[in-house]
Amino acid sequence: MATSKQIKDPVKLIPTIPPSGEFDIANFTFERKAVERSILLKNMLEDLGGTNTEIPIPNVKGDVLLKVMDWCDHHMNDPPTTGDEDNDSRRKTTDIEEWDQNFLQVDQEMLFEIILAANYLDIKALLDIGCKTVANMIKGKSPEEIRKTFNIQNDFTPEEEAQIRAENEWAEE
Amino acid sequence: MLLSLPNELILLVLDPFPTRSLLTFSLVCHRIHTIIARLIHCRLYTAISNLGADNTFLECYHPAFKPVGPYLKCAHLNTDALCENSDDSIVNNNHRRQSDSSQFTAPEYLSRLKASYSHFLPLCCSQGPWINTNISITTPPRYIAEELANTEHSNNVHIRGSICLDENELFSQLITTVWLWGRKKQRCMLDGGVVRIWRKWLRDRGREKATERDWVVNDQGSDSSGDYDDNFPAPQASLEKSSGEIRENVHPWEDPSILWILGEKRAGLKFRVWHRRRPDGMPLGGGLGNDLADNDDDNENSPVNYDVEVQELVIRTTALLSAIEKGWCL
Repeated sequence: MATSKQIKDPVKLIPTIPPSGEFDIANFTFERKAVERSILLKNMLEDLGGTNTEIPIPNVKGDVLLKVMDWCDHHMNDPPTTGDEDNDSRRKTTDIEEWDQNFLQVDQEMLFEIILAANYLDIKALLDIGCKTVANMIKGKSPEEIRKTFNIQNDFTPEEEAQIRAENEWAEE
Repeated sequence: MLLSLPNELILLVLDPFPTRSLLTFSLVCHRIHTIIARLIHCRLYTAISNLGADNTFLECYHPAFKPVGPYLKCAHLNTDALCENSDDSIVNNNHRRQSDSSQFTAPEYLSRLKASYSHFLPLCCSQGPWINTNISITTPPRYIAEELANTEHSNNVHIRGSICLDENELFSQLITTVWLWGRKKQRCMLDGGVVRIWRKWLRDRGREKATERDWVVNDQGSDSSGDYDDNFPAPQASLEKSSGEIRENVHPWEDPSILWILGEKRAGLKFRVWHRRRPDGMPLGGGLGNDLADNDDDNENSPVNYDVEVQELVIRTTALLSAIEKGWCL
């Protein structure tokens, strides 16, 4: 955790929705390099200049922010991502490195919160593995199994369902 | 809980999946179905936009004349399922009008996609017939498909040929193959087989043309305002014209001028047909002798000559999309 280490260049993130339980601002002090994994925060820090190192974070719950920053901390020394990865990532749904896999071993609610936060904070690599994790939960499942997994109500009438099946026949060729 | 994500993030989750899987997932619920329809639409749009004249090829010949040389390149004209987003004024068919007047809704979209065809114009770059369909023709088939990839295809002409049926011959046939070529020279056969051209079909098409004033060929070839002269007009020009002539509101399945490869209707050729009264002399079935010609035709057994022109190659859009997705093109 960030707090246990000596932080060279600290940045404080103040969640407007504090975490459940005791709230210690010391837990929300992070290495600037880790914070800069978020493009949103990186730009903010640049705009603020060197002096202000306290940023309020709306939209992300304190718990989720801690979890996200955990990831950023681990990945703060990753080389910057290149645009080329877009093409490759499309077909590979399974290749998530082990640390990330373990990191995302969370309940569904947290997983989707992380995805939302990564999207809001603009952390592409985290958003990517989040989406891949969900994709892996969908992969190979029947519509009924997907509904069960994600607690989705089937809102099709039997007639609509039959119609869609007929429309989709071409994929079986 | 998945549905707690906004649509653009659900889209991101679904994006890695092949279209085949997406179609299965589309049964989960309405919202997912709509997102998937848009995703597939987007894929189709990208795939079709990347389709150049170097990607789609047509091979078409009478069994007696296996040609050598490059295949005919085909320029993409339009795709039914994409028309509602297209400003392309060439497109003028029923599907477009339907989608203009109705909202873009997903269930409709996926059913339109299933029935959608992509229309291509096969081209050859210089003058003269390309398909030699008649064994009795003395000149060997010329393969003139080289160097025609320029998108303006200003120098290109329609593919034309002649078909002669001898006494008691009921049909002629064309061995037809449609290829998709990838950037790395991989080839994928989209469809292949025999297109059978029946005597009765030729007669019906020939008559159709004769009754439509537009189709009567000007024998003199001097009248520049003539509806179709014998100087092999550039496709661009005749294309605009043909869009007006195409019977409106006709889906390819109901278009009698399209002949399909095999029975699956995955790919077909749309023809124009002219009856040729005499093998020599008058080049094409002229206006003067049409009645007489029709009488001749009624005799099932007499030898007949027709000129045909390939107006369009139509390919089932879903077949195209599947092939592209398998990595042949992108």
